[in-house]
Amino acid sequence: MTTPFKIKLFTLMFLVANVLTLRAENISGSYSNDCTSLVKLWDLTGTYTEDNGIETESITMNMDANGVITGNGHFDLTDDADSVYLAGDANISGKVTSAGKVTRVKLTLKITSGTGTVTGYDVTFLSTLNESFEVDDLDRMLIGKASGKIKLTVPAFGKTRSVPVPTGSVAANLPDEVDGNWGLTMDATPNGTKTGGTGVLNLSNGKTIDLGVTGTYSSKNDQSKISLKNADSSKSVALSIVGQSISNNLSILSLKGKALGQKLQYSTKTK
Amino acid sequence: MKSNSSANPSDGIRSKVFWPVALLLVAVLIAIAFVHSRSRTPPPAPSEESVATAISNVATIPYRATPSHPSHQTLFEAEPETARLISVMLDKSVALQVRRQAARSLAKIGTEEAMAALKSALTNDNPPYVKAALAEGLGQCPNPESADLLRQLVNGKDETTARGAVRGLAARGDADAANTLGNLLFNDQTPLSVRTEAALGLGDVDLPTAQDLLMRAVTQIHDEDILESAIDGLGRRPFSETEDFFRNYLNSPDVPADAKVLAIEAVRDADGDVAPFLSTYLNDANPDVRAAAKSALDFLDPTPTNSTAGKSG
Repeated sequence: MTTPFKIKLFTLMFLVANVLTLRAENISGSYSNDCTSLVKLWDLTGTYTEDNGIETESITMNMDANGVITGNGHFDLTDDADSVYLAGDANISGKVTSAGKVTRVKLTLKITSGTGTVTGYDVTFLSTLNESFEVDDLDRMLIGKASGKIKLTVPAFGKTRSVPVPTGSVAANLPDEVDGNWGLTMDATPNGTKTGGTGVLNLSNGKTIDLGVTGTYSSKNDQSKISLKNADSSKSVALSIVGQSISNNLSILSLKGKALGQKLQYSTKTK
Repeated sequence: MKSNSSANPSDGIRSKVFWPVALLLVAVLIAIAFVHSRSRTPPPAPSEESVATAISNVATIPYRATPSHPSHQTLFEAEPETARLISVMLDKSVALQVRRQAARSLAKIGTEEAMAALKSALTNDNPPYVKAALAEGLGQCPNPESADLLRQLVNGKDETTARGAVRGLAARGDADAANTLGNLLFNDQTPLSVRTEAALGLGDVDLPTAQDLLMRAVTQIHDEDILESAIDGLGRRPFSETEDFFRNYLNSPDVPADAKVLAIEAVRDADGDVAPFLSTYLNDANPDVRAAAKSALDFLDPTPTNSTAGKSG
């Protein structure tokens, strides 16, 4: 065997070894992936406050793993110049959905105890307001429209009237912690070409959702298919991931499913 | 947790919550004036005058605080100031919400000068939601060119603008608009976000054909996102017009429980006395439907006695 041939053979073996070490494997052990860059996942949970001197408002919304929103709020309007003083509590109900590239937020605000005075006359009112928003990821705002109805009573006149609230545009800045960031952690134990384990969906606001992990590995295409679903019996999260595990780093090639009422879809092919 | 406070008084949750409150206030004052004018025993003249003064003063508060609401358009449009609106719309240093309102107002003016500026803004590097607001405003534009422009925009590449154009068409609310929205809804080549927006938009079109299109979509389109939007669209219509549809839908053995839950949620938000209708589903055979009905009734009337007849979820 000549020396040049030995060098070539050695080089070839080295390259083959390199290729083999770069080859993916069945998922095994611990993984942690920040999925934000793939697709955003919105949890609108937070407290929204505003005070401009005349009006103060505070609304607290909580969003569950199904995207269902509940909450309540309170507002005060103090206008000494016009002798108008109004206050009320609102119950809030709604949900977050997505369709294709848009994430929508539907809210219903029900004011059940509006009271106040206008130039000394007592007034009470009930109101229902329907609001429809889109999440503007770029500017981190909710942008949409609102309409509704109000049932007003002026006891001094002994009259009650219902008045429609005309459709108007509305917008709100998202709180700092509502940023669409999220990630997944997994602990997987392989069994042949199959795997099982546990996982956690982590939201940027600290909320977590426990998941169960199942998967299969195909040496043919060198990819793992991973399914993540709620660890309990709820059905709020169902994600399918195709990825490659190399040295305990999971490279996600595609992600599809639902969580927090939103459809999530990502693929390296379509990005 | 606290939201990021905005330096601009027109930003923030106030825009979301204060507007309704402001609208409430305006409505309260209008209603007071209405009731007052009909009162058989009017209060003494000095009080009447003071209420009228309060109405006059307070009704302008929202405008002073946040010049971004259609209910105050008359104030805004009394002096069109087309050039100023164009400047605001294109000014990157101005808050997005103000730029959006300028775009919307400009579209509603509809003069040749305004239209030229709008077309230019649509092709320039403006934020998608400014373009969307512009398209929404075209729905109330008196210029005859606006309808064609909207039809172009709904088929454009930018989905945010296209959705704005869908809302613009819904605001037009004529037969041609309904037809265009129906075509978008049933065209499987249309992006999903635009198809679903078309379904929601049809819910706002006050024509029987719009309701027919939505009912047909519910039965013929099997994509669950579109189904949900079509049901939501039907929920936007007066309940007196959709009660029969929802009754048949909820009573159908062929409709899955998930879809029935969506229908109950839509009915809850519909305009009309929906509580008696929803009460009939407190004893539905499906626990998810029962729970949805109870949840809806609890929200409509938080007093603890409203749904005691129903089985618990």
